[in-house]
Amino acid sequence: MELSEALPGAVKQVFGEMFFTFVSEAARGGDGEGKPFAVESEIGFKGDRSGRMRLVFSQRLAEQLAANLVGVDPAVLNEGEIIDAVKEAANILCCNLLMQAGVQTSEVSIPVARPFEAATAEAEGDTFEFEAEGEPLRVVIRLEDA
Amino acid sequence: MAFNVLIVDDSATMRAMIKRVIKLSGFEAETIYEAGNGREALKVLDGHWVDLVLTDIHMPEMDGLELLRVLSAHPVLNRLPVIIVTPEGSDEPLQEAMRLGAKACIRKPFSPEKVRQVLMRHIEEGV
Repeated sequence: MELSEALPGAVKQVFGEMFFTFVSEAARGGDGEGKPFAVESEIGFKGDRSGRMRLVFSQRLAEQLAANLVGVDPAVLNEGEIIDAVKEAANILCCNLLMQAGVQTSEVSIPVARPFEAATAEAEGDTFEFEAEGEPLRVVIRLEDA
Repeated sequence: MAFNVLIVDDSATMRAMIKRVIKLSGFEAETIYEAGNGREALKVLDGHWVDLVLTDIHMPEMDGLELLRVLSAHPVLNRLPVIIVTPEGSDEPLQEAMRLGAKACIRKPFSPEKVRQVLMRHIEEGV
């Protein structure tokens, strides 16, 4: 199965089960309308398909996901918990997606998190837009040539 | 009857998440201990009675596989049920973990019900 075909199901399962958050596909990018992207996480994978996956979140969504993950009010979260949550989202989604798509992987890198940078976010890759908690969520997958 | 559980994961956020899921699952945990890697886990096990260990694989200092190696060679702790909790999609490290004595694997993402089922099955075997 193509990664793009498996992605919506993987996103819904991962965010539903681990972050208690309902996610739906969005017709268009959601980085406007006063809800700018603020933070992103990225992870690499190697195997019979290799590449990188990037998840981009608004600040409010990143905070809400972290709060749901650990079961606390977003107001009491610290920055480390938010960073851990978006890195964990990349890690779990990447592994789940590769498994659902039947990709044999030999290595998944340690995820990283950083502030969103519009200039790098538009780098080459297939972009998929979702919505969660009324906030935008973007997934970018860039496959490397075999 | 309540049980003592040890969660081993280098992410404090993931430890908190697993703790939350155990509570949501209805599993009766008396004390939930935490460790950031295998070495810290061994220190906890040195001083406390634990009924079951949930461990990640990839951790700094001492990973989950090395923890399993140490436990499997221990005269008492080799009977302790160890469950791997990982998003790992590749079979190789999981097969190695099972070879080293892990009782089961819970793949992320997981539901509280799945966690409860796995914990109950393996803790009952150990009682």
